[in-house]
Amino acid sequence: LAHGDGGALTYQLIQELFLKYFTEGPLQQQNDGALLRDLPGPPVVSTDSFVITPYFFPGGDIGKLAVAGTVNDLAVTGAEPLYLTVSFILEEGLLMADLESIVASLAQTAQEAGVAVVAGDTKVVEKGRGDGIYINTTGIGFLPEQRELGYQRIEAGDKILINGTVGDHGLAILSKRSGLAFDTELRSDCAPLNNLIATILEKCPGAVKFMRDATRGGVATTAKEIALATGKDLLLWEEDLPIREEAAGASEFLGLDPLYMANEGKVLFIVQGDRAQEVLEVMKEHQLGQESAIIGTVEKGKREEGHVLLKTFFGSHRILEMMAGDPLPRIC
Amino acid sequence: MDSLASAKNARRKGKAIGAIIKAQKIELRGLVQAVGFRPYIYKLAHQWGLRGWVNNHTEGVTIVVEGSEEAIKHFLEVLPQDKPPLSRIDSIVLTEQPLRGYQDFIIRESQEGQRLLTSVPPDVALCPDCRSDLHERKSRYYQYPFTNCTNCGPRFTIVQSLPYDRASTSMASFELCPTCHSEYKDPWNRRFHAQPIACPTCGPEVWLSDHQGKPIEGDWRQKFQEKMRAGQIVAVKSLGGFHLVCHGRHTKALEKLRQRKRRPHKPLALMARDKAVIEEICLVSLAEEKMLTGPQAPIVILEQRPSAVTKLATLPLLTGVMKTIGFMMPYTPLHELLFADDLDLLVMTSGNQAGFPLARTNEEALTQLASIVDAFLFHNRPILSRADDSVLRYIDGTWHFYRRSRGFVPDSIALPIAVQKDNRGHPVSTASQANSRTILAVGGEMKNTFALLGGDSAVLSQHIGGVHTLEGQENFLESLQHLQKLLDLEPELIVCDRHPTYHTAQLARRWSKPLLEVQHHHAHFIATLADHSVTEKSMGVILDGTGYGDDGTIWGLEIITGDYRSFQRHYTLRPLPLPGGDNAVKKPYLTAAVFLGEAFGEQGWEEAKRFFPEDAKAITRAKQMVEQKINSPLSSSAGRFFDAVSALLGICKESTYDGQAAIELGEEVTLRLGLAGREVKRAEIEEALSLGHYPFSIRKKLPRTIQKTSQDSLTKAEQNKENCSLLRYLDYTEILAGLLADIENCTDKGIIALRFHNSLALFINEAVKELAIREKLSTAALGGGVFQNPYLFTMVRHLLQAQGLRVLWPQRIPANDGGLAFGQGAIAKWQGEEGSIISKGRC
Ligand SMILES: [Fe+3]
Ligand SMILES: [Mg+2]
Ligand SMILES: [Zn+2]
Ligand SMILES: [Zn+2]
Repeated sequence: LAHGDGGALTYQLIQELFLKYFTEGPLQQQNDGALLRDLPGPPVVSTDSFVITPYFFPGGDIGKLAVAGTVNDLAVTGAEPLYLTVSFILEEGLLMADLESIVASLAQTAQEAGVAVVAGDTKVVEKGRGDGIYINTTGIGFLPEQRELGYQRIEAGDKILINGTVGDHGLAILSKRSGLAFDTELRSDCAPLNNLIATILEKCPGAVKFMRDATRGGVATTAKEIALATGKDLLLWEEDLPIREEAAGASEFLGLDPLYMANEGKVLFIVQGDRAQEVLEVMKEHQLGQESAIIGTVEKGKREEGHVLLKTFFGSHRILEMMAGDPLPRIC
Repeated sequence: MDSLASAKNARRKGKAIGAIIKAQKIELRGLVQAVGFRPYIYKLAHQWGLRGWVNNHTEGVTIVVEGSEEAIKHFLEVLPQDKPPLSRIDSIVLTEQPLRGYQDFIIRESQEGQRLLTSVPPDVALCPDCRSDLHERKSRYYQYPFTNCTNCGPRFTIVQSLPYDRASTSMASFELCPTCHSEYKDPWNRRFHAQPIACPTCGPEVWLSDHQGKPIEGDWRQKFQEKMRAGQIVAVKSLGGFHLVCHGRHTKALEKLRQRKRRPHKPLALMARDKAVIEEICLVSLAEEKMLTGPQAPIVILEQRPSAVTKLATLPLLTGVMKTIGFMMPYTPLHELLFADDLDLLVMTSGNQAGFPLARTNEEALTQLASIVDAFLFHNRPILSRADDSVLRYIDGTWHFYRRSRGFVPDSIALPIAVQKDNRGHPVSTASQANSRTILAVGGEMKNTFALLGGDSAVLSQHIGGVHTLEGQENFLESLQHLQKLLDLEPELIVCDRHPTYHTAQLARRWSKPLLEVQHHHAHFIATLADHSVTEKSMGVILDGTGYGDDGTIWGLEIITGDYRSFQRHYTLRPLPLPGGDNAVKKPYLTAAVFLGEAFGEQGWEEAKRFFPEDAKAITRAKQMVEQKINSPLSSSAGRFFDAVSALLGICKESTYDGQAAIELGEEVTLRLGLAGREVKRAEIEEALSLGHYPFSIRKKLPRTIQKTSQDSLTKAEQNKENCSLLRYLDYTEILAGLLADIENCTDKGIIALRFHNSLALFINEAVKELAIREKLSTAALGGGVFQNPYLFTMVRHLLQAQGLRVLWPQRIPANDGGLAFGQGAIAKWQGEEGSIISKGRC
C-alpha cells in the first residue's frame, strides 16, 4: 500500500474494495452523506476507535472487533443497532491482502449483527505513523419502547449474570502479541451481542435492569464502575465465575488476573433477583450465551463507597479495585 | 517537674526525724496499671504507717501519703525497688501538699480525666501461684480455667476502655460472688483488685461442641483429651483468638491438619505441658527458658537437638526441613488444663482460614473453621481484641522479634528525644521540629501492624496480618478504632507506604487528613534508628523482600545514608525483571532462571532449563515475558536473590508460604554457627568465613542488557542521572558463576549456601566501609525482613563491629514489615509541621 500523489491508483483500489464488500444501502450511492429514514424510536449513537496489535488474532481481527465493539456499546444501552459508519486510517506498507481480509471480516460481522454500513472514509498515513491500521466506527440505532435500563434501577438483591467465560480476549491478544506459547491456544471472545441481548430483553421483559460490556479493565473494573455509580456493593462468587482452564493457567503465570483482562464479547447483566434463573435459561439457549452463569449479587453498600468483593473459595472476600496498570509485587 | 533523684537530694537535706508530719503527693507514669501496683502501694504504705490514698487514673497512678518525714523517705526509697515484677515506672513527680489528716490508707476508685498517651497493660501469662491453685484439690480454683491474679491474666484482650477496671472489661457481665468479692476487696490477697477475678461459682465457663456447634455432654476436659488421642482437630478459644489444636505426636492428626488448613510446609508451633518436654527435643538456653516461662510466654524458635526425631517421631511433619521449632508454654489456665499425663505436646496453630484474621467470637469460629475442625472448645468470656501469639528468636545473644503481638501489645515504646546536631556537631534542640500532632502510621501490606504516636511514645498494634481481603481490612479498621479509643487518640496526620496499590495506603489516601507517604526502606531504616533513640545521620543496611522504590521499580537491597527527613541510596543490587511479578516471587525457580538469564544471557536461560527440566516450558515463557516486557517489573530485592539460590540448590523451588525459599536457605547455614542461645565468638566468625565466599563486583553502571530490558521507570531513574552518579550496583554474575561451579563440583549444598551468605555479608562489609569513610559516619542500622536470617545477621553484625562501627538492629520491634509502621511514624514525627510532604529519597 502506497501513499501520496502517486497513490491515486491505490485509493481507487480501496474504494473498489469497499464497494465490493458493502453491497447494500446508502454507501453504494457514493453520496457525501447517508440519509437514514424511518428510525422506529429515539436514536442512539455510539462511537469508538479500534487500535490493536496484532490486528489478526485467534478468534478475530480488527475488522470484526470494530463492528462488535460499537454494536455492543449500543446494545448494552438497550438500543437496537441498525447502521454503522466506518473510517479507516491505513499505514503505508499495509498489505492489500491483509486489508481485504479485514474489510471482508468487518462486512461479514456487520451482516451477522444485522447492521448496515452506511458511510465510510479512508486515509493513508506515512509509514511509521500508524500501527498498520486503525478503524473508527460509529453506530446508530434506536431505543425500543419499554426498555428502560439504568443505574437507578439497581437495588440490593439483584443478581449479576455474564454470558460466558472471562478474560479470553485480553489473554489471547497478550499471548499472540508476545508469542507466548501456552498449551492450548487462547481465543478472543470478540462477537456482536445485540442479538443475544435483544432475545433476552424480548423474552424476559423488565427483568434486566442494567447492562455493561466488560471490555477494557475487565469484569472487575466494570463491576467497580457500577458499584461507584450506585453506592452498592457487588459481590462476586469465585466458584461460579466461568473461566477457561487454559485462561486461568495462563493468567496465573502472567501474574495477571482474568477479572481484569479485557473481553470483547461479554456483558454483565444486572437482573432482578427473582428472575435471574429465567434470564439465565434464555441466555443459555443462545449460541453466544451457552456458558452463561449467575456470578454474584448486589448488596447494600457497607461503606460510603460501593465495593466489589470477590468471595473466594476459602470464604474470605477479596476487595477488587479499578484496574491500575500492571499489578506490582506486594509480597515482602 | 521534680524527679526521684532530686527528691532524694531533698530528703538528704531534711533535718528532723519522726515528729514532723508532712504530706506528699506522688504521681507515677509508666506501666503501673493492671500489674498489682495499687495493692503494692497499699501494703507499702501500711508497712510504714502512712495514711492517705492511691488511685488509678487515665494518666497513671497518684499516691498521697501523710506521715513522718522519715517514713515517707523510706516509702519513696523502697517504692521503685520492690515494685511488682510486671510494672515499669517511666516517671515519678513529687509535690508537697497541705496536711489533710487522713485516718487510714485507702485505695480510691479510678478516675477519668485528661491524659497523654499512657500504657495499656498487655496480657500476662499464667503465674506460678495460679498454676498451683489449678492443681491444688483444696483450692477453690482447682481446675478452674479462668483463674487469675494481679500478677497474671488477661488485660489487653478483654479491655474496652481505660482506666482498666472490671467494668470496662468483657468481665463486666459476670457479677462477683461474695467470696470473690471479698478476695477482690482484701488488700492482702493476691487477687486484690484483680479485675478479671472469677471462680467456678460466678465466672465464665467452658464447653465442648461438635463441628456444627452442638454442645457435647460430659466432662469437657476428658472429652477434649479423648479427641486429641483419637487424632481429632479441635478449635480452642484461647486468649486472643482461636487456636487449631491437635496431638503433637499423632501422625494422622498432623496430616489431616496440614491438608485441611492447606498448609503443606509452614512449620507448626507447639505448646508443651512443661519445660522438660521441650528440653527433650530442643536445646534451651537460660535466656530462652526465661522468655518461655516469663510473663509474655511467646513462641520461642528453638534449635532442635540432633537426636530430636528419636524423641518426637512426628518432627518432620511438624517442621519439614527446618532444624528449629517454635515452642510455647501454657499461658492461660485453660491451656494448662488441656494437657494430661499421656498428653504432653499439642500443636497450636492460629485458628483462621486463608485471608481471614484469627477467629475471635464463637460465631466467627463456627462459620470460618467448621470445615477444618472436628470440634470446638468454646467459652463465654468475650475476646475484645485479637492477639496472635508473639514469636521471638534468640540470635547471637540478643532477642529478635519475628512477630510482636500477644504479651507485648499494646505496651508503648518510648521515642527518641529530638536532639540533632548541627554541621559543627553541636547539639541543636529540635523540639520545635518534632511533630506534636497525633500520628497514625498504617504500616505495610503483609504481616501488617499499625502504630499510633502521641507525646513521646508510640504504640505498635498487635499483628493484623493481611489486609487484602475485606475481613483483613475490617480487622485493621476495628483494631485501629479500638486502640484509638483505648489510648484516647485521634490521628491528625496519617503516614503510609508509597506503594501505589498497598491496601493500607489506599485506605489512608481516602481519609481526608494530612498524609505523608514514606518509602518502604526509609521506614525500615528509621524503625531501627528510632528503636535505639538515634536521631543523627547514619548509614542504613536494608535487606528486604519488596519495597516500592522512588523510581517506580521494586527495591530490596539498600545501603543508604540519611536521617528521618531524607536518605540517599548508595548501593543496591543490579536490578532484574520479575516475570509475572508476585508469581515469580511464589515460584523461586522462575526467579532463578531470570537471574541466570540476566547474568549469562542465552546460555544462562539454557542452564536454567537444565536445572529445572520439568519447567523448561515455563522458563521459555518467562524469558519471552522478560523480553517482551510483559508484566515484568524490575526488582533489586535481596529477598529474590535468596529465593533464586534456594531454588538452584534444590532447597525450595516453589514457596507455599511467605518467604519459604529464603527461610529454608537460611536454615542450611544457621546451625553452622550454633547460634541458638548464646553469643557467637570472633573465632567462630573467622572459621565460618574461612569456608569461603564467591567473588563479587560492584559496578557504577548497569550492564547493557538491563538498560534494554528496563521499563519506563528505569528510564526515569536514568534521567535523574546527576542524582544517581553515586549509585553502585552489586552484580550477581560472579557470585552465580562461583555458585554454579560449586554445584558442578558436587560441593556440599550447606557449604554453597554458606559461601553465598558470606559473599553477601562481605559485600555489605565492603560497601559500608567505603561509605563510612567517605561520609564520615560511624553508625550502621540494619533492617528489613532478610535480617531475620540468623547467620546473615550475625555475620554482618560482627563484620561491621570489627570495623569499629556502632551497629544497630531492631530489638523492640520486628525487622520485617511488622515493624514498618514504627519507622513510618517516627519519620512523620520528625518531618516537622510542614503539612503533607513526601519523604524524599534519591536514586
Ligand atoms: Fe519490608
Ligand atoms: Mg467501546
Ligand atoms: Zn496469677
Ligand atoms: Zn466467684
